Amino acid sequence: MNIDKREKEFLQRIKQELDCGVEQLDPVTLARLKSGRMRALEKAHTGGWRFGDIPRWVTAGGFATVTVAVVAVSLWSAAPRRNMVAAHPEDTEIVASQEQFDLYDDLEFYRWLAENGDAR
Amino acid sequence: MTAQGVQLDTTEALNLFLADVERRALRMAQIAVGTLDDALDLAQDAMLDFVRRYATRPEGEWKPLFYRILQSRITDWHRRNTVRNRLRFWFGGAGDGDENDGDQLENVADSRGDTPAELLLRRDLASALERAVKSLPLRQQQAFLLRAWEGLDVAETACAMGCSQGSVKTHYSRAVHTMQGLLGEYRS
Repeated sequence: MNIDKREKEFLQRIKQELDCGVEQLDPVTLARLKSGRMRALEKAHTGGWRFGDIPRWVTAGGFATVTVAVVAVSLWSAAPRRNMVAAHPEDTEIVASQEQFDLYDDLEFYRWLAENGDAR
Repeated sequence: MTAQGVQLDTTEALNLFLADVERRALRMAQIAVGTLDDALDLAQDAMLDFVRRYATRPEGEWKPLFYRILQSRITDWHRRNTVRNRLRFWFGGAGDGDENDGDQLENVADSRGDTPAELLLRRDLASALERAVKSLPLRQQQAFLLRAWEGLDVAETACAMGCSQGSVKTHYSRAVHTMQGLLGEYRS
Protein backbone atom coordinates (compact mmCIF):
# COMPACT_ATOMS: atom_id res chain seq x y z
CA MET A 1 0.00 0.00 0.00
CA ASN A 2 1.54 3.33 -0.99
CA ILE A 3 1.88 6.33 1.33
CA ASP A 4 -0.82 8.43 -0.33
CA LYS A 5 -3.40 5.67 -0.04
CA ARG A 6 -2.52 5.02 3.59
CA GLU A 7 -2.76 8.72 4.36
CA LYS A 8 -6.11 8.93 2.60
CA GLU A 9 -7.47 6.03 4.63
CA PHE A 10 -6.11 7.51 7.83
CA LEU A 11 -7.81 10.83 7.10
CA GLN A 12 -11.02 9.03 6.11
CA ARG A 13 -11.04 7.27 9.47
CA ILE A 14 -10.52 10.53 11.31
CA LYS A 15 -13.35 12.13 9.35
CA GLN A 16 -15.69 9.25 10.25
CA GLU A 17 -14.77 9.58 13.90
CA LEU A 18 -15.36 13.33 13.92
CA ASP A 19 -18.71 12.78 12.18
CA CYS A 20 -19.68 10.27 14.88
CA GLY A 21 -18.96 12.84 17.59
CA VAL A 22 -21.22 15.35 15.85
CA GLU A 23 -24.08 12.86 15.43
CA GLN A 24 -24.07 12.20 19.14
CA LEU A 25 -24.54 15.75 20.36
CA ASP A 26 -27.11 15.90 23.16
CA PRO A 27 -30.64 17.24 22.50
CA VAL A 28 -30.19 20.33 24.68
CA THR A 29 -27.13 21.43 22.72
CA LEU A 30 -28.91 20.75 19.43
CA ALA A 31 -31.90 22.81 20.60
CA ARG A 32 -29.61 25.72 21.49
CA LEU A 33 -27.93 25.48 18.09
CA LYS A 34 -31.28 25.45 16.34
CA SER A 35 -32.45 28.43 18.37
CA GLY A 36 -29.32 30.36 17.30
CA ARG A 37 -29.97 29.42 13.68
CA MET A 38 -33.58 30.57 13.86
CA ARG A 39 -32.50 33.90 15.35
CA ALA A 40 -30.04 34.36 12.49
CA LEU A 41 -32.67 33.48 9.90
CA GLU A 42 -35.13 35.87 11.49
CA LYS A 43 -32.59 38.61 10.85
CA ALA A 44 -32.30 37.49 7.22
CA HIS A 45 -36.08 37.69 6.88
CA THR A 46 -36.62 41.02 8.61
CA GLY A 47 -33.27 42.50 7.67
CA GLY A 48 -33.35 44.72 10.75
CA TRP A 49 -30.82 45.06 13.52
CA ARG A 50 -31.50 46.22 17.02
CA PHE A 51 -29.24 47.48 19.77
CA GLY A 52 -29.60 44.13 21.53
CA ASP A 53 -27.93 42.38 18.59
CA ILE A 54 -24.58 43.95 19.45
CA PRO A 55 -22.45 41.45 21.36
CA ARG A 56 -22.26 42.11 25.08
CA TRP A 57 -18.47 42.48 25.09
CA VAL A 58 -18.77 45.24 22.49
CA THR A 59 -21.33 47.20 24.52
CA ALA A 60 -19.35 46.70 27.74
CA GLY A 61 -16.12 47.76 26.05
CA GLY A 62 -17.80 50.76 24.44
CA PHE A 63 -19.36 51.84 27.72
CA ALA A 64 -16.00 51.57 29.49
CA THR A 65 -14.27 53.60 26.76
CA VAL A 66 -16.91 56.34 26.85
CA THR A 67 -16.71 56.48 30.67
CA VAL A 68 -12.93 56.80 30.64
CA ALA A 69 -13.12 59.49 27.94
CA VAL A 70 -15.71 61.51 29.91
CA VAL A 71 -13.67 61.31 33.13
CA ALA A 72 -10.47 62.26 31.32
CA VAL A 73 -12.06 65.29 29.63
CA SER A 74 -13.72 66.49 32.85
CA LEU A 75 -10.47 66.15 34.83
CA TRP A 76 -8.56 67.97 32.13
CA SER A 77 -11.01 70.82 31.92
CA ALA A 78 -11.36 71.13 35.73
CA ALA A 79 -7.62 71.22 36.44
CA PRO A 80 -6.16 74.68 37.38
CA ARG A 81 -3.98 76.17 34.63
CA ARG A 82 -0.80 76.59 36.62
CA ASN A 83 1.31 77.40 33.65
CA MET A 84 -0.66 80.55 32.85
CA VAL A 85 1.06 83.52 34.47
CA ALA A 86 -1.57 86.02 33.45
CA ALA A 87 -5.23 85.26 33.17
CA HIS A 88 -6.32 88.63 31.73
CA PRO A 89 -4.82 90.97 29.09
CA GLU A 90 -4.11 93.72 31.59
CA ASP A 91 -2.15 91.27 33.74
CA THR A 92 -0.09 90.35 30.71
CA GLU A 93 0.76 93.98 30.24
CA ILE A 94 1.88 94.26 33.84
CA VAL A 95 4.05 91.18 33.59
CA ALA A 96 5.57 92.29 30.29
CA SER A 97 6.69 95.71 31.48
CA GLN A 98 9.65 95.09 33.78
CA GLU A 99 10.21 98.75 34.72
CA GLN A 100 6.78 98.99 36.38
CA PHE A 101 7.49 96.30 38.97
CA ASP A 102 8.94 98.67 41.60
CA LEU A 103 5.82 100.82 41.38
CA TYR A 104 3.58 97.83 41.96
CA ASP A 105 5.79 96.55 44.80
CA ASP A 106 5.44 99.89 46.61
CA LEU A 107 1.83 100.47 45.67
CA GLU A 108 0.69 100.50 49.32
CA PHE A 109 3.26 103.19 50.16
CA TYR A 110 2.22 105.43 47.25
CA ARG A 111 -1.47 105.02 48.20
CA TRP A 112 -0.63 106.03 51.85
CA LEU A 113 1.48 108.90 50.57
CA ALA A 114 -1.31 110.17 48.39
CA GLU A 115 -3.85 110.04 51.19
CA ASN A 116 -1.64 111.53 53.91
CA GLY A 117 0.14 114.00 51.64
CA ASP A 118 -3.18 115.55 50.69
CA ALA A 119 -4.17 115.71 54.35
CA ARG A 120 -1.09 117.78 55.15
CA MET B 1 -41.32 35.16 -8.97
CA THR B 2 -42.15 37.89 -6.45
CA ALA B 3 -39.59 39.61 -4.24
CA GLN B 4 -41.12 37.89 -1.21
CA GLY B 5 -40.81 34.53 -2.98
CA VAL B 6 -37.11 35.17 -3.60
CA GLN B 7 -36.70 36.21 0.06
CA LEU B 8 -38.33 32.98 1.26
CA ASP B 9 -36.19 30.92 -1.11
CA THR B 10 -33.04 32.59 0.20
CA THR B 11 -34.14 32.09 3.80
CA GLU B 12 -34.85 28.41 3.14
CA ALA B 13 -31.48 28.00 1.41
CA LEU B 14 -29.78 29.68 4.36
CA ASN B 15 -31.64 27.43 6.75
CA LEU B 16 -30.49 24.30 4.92
CA PHE B 17 -26.93 25.56 4.71
CA LEU B 18 -26.71 26.51 8.38
CA ALA B 19 -28.39 23.27 9.47
CA ASP B 20 -25.74 21.40 7.50
CA VAL B 21 -22.71 23.20 8.94
CA GLU B 22 -23.80 24.17 12.45
CA ARG B 23 -22.86 20.92 14.21
CA ARG B 24 -19.43 20.70 12.69
CA ALA B 25 -18.94 24.40 13.37
CA LEU B 26 -19.87 23.85 17.01
CA ARG B 27 -17.49 20.91 17.31
CA MET B 28 -14.64 22.86 15.70
CA ALA B 29 -15.24 25.75 18.07
CA GLN B 30 -15.41 23.37 21.04
CA ILE B 31 -12.13 21.73 20.09
CA ALA B 32 -10.56 25.18 19.67
CA VAL B 33 -11.81 26.84 22.86
CA GLY B 34 -12.40 23.85 25.14
CA THR B 35 -15.82 24.64 26.60
CA LEU B 36 -19.24 23.88 25.17
CA ASP B 37 -20.86 27.14 26.28
CA ASP B 38 -18.20 29.30 24.68
CA ALA B 39 -18.35 27.16 21.55
CA LEU B 40 -22.12 27.60 21.35
CA ASP B 41 -21.77 31.37 21.70
CA LEU B 42 -19.16 31.44 18.95
CA ALA B 43 -21.22 29.27 16.60
CA GLN B 44 -24.38 31.34 17.17
CA ASP B 45 -22.51 34.63 16.71
CA ALA B 46 -20.95 33.28 13.51
CA MET B 47 -24.39 32.33 12.14
CA LEU B 48 -25.82 35.77 12.94
CA ASP B 49 -22.87 37.58 11.44
CA PHE B 50 -22.82 35.35 8.38
CA VAL B 51 -26.50 35.99 7.63
CA ARG B 52 -26.09 39.72 8.18
CA ARG B 53 -23.05 40.09 5.94
CA TYR B 54 -23.11 37.37 3.33
CA ALA B 55 -26.70 36.17 2.82
CA THR B 56 -26.85 37.90 -0.53
CA ARG B 57 -23.65 36.31 -1.85
CA PRO B 58 -23.82 33.28 -4.20
CA GLU B 59 -24.45 30.01 -2.39
CA GLY B 60 -21.18 28.54 -3.67
CA GLU B 61 -19.26 31.07 -1.58
CA TRP B 62 -21.18 30.53 1.64
CA LYS B 63 -19.11 27.76 3.17
CA PRO B 64 -15.68 29.46 3.10
CA LEU B 65 -17.27 32.76 4.13
CA PHE B 66 -19.09 31.17 7.06
CA TYR B 67 -15.94 29.46 8.26
CA ARG B 68 -13.99 32.67 7.79
CA ILE B 69 -16.29 34.33 10.32
CA LEU B 70 -16.13 31.37 12.69
CA GLN B 71 -12.35 31.09 12.57
CA SER B 72 -12.03 34.83 13.06
CA ARG B 73 -14.25 34.60 16.15
CA ILE B 74 -12.20 31.71 17.48
CA THR B 75 -8.98 33.68 16.98
CA ASP B 76 -10.52 36.70 18.73
CA TRP B 77 -11.60 34.43 21.60
CA HIS B 78 -8.02 33.21 22.01
CA ARG B 79 -6.68 36.77 21.99
CA ARG B 80 -9.16 37.88 24.64
CA ASN B 81 -8.44 34.79 26.66
CA THR B 82 -4.70 35.45 26.54
CA VAL B 83 -5.21 39.00 27.81
CA ARG B 84 -7.57 37.75 30.54
CA ASN B 85 -5.06 35.13 31.66
CA ARG B 86 -2.29 37.73 31.80
CA LEU B 87 -4.44 40.02 33.93
CA ARG B 88 -5.35 37.11 36.18
CA PHE B 89 -1.67 36.26 36.52
CA TRP B 90 -0.69 39.89 37.30
CA PHE B 91 -3.39 40.33 39.90
CA GLY B 92 -2.65 36.96 41.49
CA GLY B 93 -6.08 35.46 40.99
CA ALA B 94 -6.11 31.68 40.76
CA GLY B 95 -8.28 30.38 37.96
CA ASP B 96 -10.42 27.35 38.65
CA GLY B 97 -8.76 25.72 35.65
CA ASP B 98 -11.04 22.76 35.17
CA GLU B 99 -14.26 24.56 34.38
CA ASN B 100 -16.38 22.37 32.15
CA ASP B 101 -13.46 20.55 30.62
CA GLY B 102 -15.24 17.24 30.59
CA ASP B 103 -14.84 14.98 27.63
CA GLN B 104 -18.15 15.16 25.77
CA LEU B 105 -17.35 12.06 23.77
CA GLU B 106 -17.10 10.00 26.93
CA ASN B 107 -20.56 11.06 28.09
CA VAL B 108 -22.60 10.08 25.08
CA ALA B 109 -24.24 6.74 24.55
CA ASP B 110 -23.23 4.64 21.59
CA SER B 111 -26.28 3.08 19.97
CA ARG B 112 -24.66 1.44 16.98
CA GLY B 113 -24.54 -2.06 18.49
CA ASP B 114 -20.77 -2.54 18.31
CA THR B 115 -19.12 -5.25 20.39
CA PRO B 116 -17.58 -4.14 23.69
CA ALA B 117 -14.08 -4.46 22.22
CA GLU B 118 -15.03 -2.32 19.25
CA LEU B 119 -16.69 0.17 21.56
CA LEU B 120 -13.59 0.39 23.69
CA LEU B 121 -11.38 0.87 20.66
CA ARG B 122 -13.74 3.47 19.23
CA ARG B 123 -13.95 5.34 22.53
CA ASP B 124 -10.17 5.19 22.81
CA LEU B 125 -9.82 6.53 19.29
CA ALA B 126 -12.38 9.30 19.88
CA SER B 127 -10.59 10.37 23.02
CA ALA B 128 -7.13 10.15 21.45
CA LEU B 129 -8.35 11.99 18.37
CA GLU B 130 -9.75 14.84 20.39
CA ARG B 131 -6.55 15.12 22.41
CA ALA B 132 -4.46 15.05 19.24
CA VAL B 133 -6.48 17.73 17.45
CA LYS B 134 -6.49 19.93 20.56
CA SER B 135 -2.72 19.60 20.84
CA LEU B 136 -2.19 21.16 17.40
CA PRO B 137 -1.35 24.87 17.20
CA LEU B 138 -4.50 26.86 16.38
CA ARG B 139 -3.64 27.57 12.73
CA GLN B 140 -2.73 23.93 12.06
CA GLN B 141 -5.90 22.84 13.82
CA GLN B 142 -7.99 25.15 11.64
CA ALA B 143 -6.31 24.01 8.42
CA PHE B 144 -6.63 20.36 9.37
CA LEU B 145 -10.33 20.49 10.32
CA LEU B 146 -11.35 22.64 7.36
CA ARG B 147 -9.47 20.50 4.83
CA ALA B 148 -9.78 16.98 6.23
CA TRP B 149 -13.20 17.21 7.87
CA GLU B 150 -15.15 19.99 6.21
CA GLY B 151 -13.68 19.12 2.81
CA LEU B 152 -12.75 22.65 1.74
CA ASP B 153 -10.10 22.86 -0.98
CA VAL B 154 -6.89 24.84 -0.53
CA ALA B 155 -8.30 28.08 -1.97
CA GLU B 156 -11.48 27.89 0.14
CA THR B 157 -9.45 27.10 3.25
CA ALA B 158 -7.19 30.08 2.54
CA CYS B 159 -10.28 32.28 2.28
CA ALA B 160 -11.68 30.84 5.52
CA MET B 161 -8.41 31.30 7.39
CA GLY B 162 -7.60 34.68 5.86
CA CYS B 163 -4.13 33.61 4.72
CA SER B 164 -2.32 32.52 1.56
CA GLN B 165 -2.74 29.13 -0.09
CA GLY B 166 0.93 28.42 0.59
CA SER B 167 0.36 28.93 4.32
CA VAL B 168 -2.62 26.58 4.22
CA LYS B 169 -0.51 23.87 2.57
CA THR B 170 2.22 24.29 5.17
CA HIS B 171 -0.17 24.25 8.15
CA TYR B 172 -2.10 21.28 6.78
CA SER B 173 0.96 19.25 5.96
CA ARG B 174 2.43 19.79 9.42
CA ALA B 175 -0.90 18.96 11.04
CA VAL B 176 -1.28 15.69 9.13
CA HIS B 177 2.28 14.72 10.00
CA THR B 178 1.69 15.44 13.70
CA MET B 179 -1.64 13.62 13.71
CA GLN B 180 -0.08 10.56 12.11
CA GLY B 181 2.60 10.58 14.77
CA LEU B 182 0.11 10.96 17.62
CA LEU B 183 -2.46 8.48 16.32
CA GLY B 184 -0.09 6.02 14.69
CA GLU B 185 -1.35 3.10 16.75
CA TYR B 186 -4.90 3.58 15.46
CA ARG B 187 -3.93 3.48 11.80
CA SER B 188 -5.34 0.45 10.02
